[in-house]
Amino acid sequence: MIAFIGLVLGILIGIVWNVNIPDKFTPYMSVAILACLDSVFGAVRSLLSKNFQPDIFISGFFGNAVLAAGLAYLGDKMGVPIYLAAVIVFGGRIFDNFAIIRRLLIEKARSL
Amino acid sequence: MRNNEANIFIFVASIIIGILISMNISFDNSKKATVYLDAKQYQDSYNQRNIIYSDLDNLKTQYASLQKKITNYVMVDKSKEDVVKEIENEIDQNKFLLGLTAVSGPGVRITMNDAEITDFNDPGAINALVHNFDIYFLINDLKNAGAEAISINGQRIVDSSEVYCFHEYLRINGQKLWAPFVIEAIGNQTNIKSYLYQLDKEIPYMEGEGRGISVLYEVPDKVIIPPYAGDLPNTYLKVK
Repeated sequence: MIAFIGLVLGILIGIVWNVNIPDKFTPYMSVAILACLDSVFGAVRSLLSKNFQPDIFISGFFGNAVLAAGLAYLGDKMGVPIYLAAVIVFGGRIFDNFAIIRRLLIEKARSL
Repeated sequence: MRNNEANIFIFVASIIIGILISMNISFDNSKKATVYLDAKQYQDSYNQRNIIYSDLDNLKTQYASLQKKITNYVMVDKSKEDVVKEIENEIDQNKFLLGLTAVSGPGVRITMNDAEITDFNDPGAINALVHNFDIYFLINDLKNAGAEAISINGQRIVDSSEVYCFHEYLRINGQKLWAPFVIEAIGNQTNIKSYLYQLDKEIPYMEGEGRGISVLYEVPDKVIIPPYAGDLPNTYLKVK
């Protein structure tokens, strides 16, 4: 829920601020966003299962984003759609984390 | 404490994600999203883009020169005579491009003559004559090779020139012409020669099997081509 609020707030800020980023970066941005989303979902899940570690989160957040963008860029130069790997893996992890979060929340709600 | 810290991190991270997402999203339907092209599509689009850019450049230079012309005409202190002289120059330039003025330049001279017919009863004898299609093909070959002005036996070939075969003579621009046919053209001498003598082109065909038409190929430094002396009929033609 706090993540959701933060997301909405971020989108509003982004609309208002109107940052101009060169158009050629957009494909790399999309994969980086996916990586960041996965990090956040992982953080929420670790929060709920009480083993959140900030340094792991931060390193994962930025590291995954940079790695995903770098892989997309490399794939672009080589003509091989490597970004697909990032999309599938991060997408898969988002769904996994979401499933675990769901279970934890429902368990919490049941035991209340 | 741990919980709060974690919440703060998650909050900040999701704000960052929100900003990134809004930078990427465009609700503007006119701006196309990124399209992924394969190699061939990329090549085609790249070529198309180059063509459009060069067209743009041409249009820009045309626009600049026309703009200059207009300012020249509009300038008040330009006397009437100067304006008339400029218009006359333009008319002369147009006549030059239409083929209505005599021109000279480096070029080629091709003299073709019918082959000797020894047996008038031989049905293949007709192949020994230079026909109208020989002239058509040769003119077409010259044009393909980059000839800028062409004349046959002193008749300038323009767009509307016809080549009509009538028994022993040809009629071009309404004038009757007999063999030998002297075709003169102005253009790049090396390119024309290498193009015309390719095996599937007209001159080797005329000189070859079963025909034996004599073709004399000369490369004079200066060829003079007379102006087109006929009229340019436009009874049916109208500006669109």
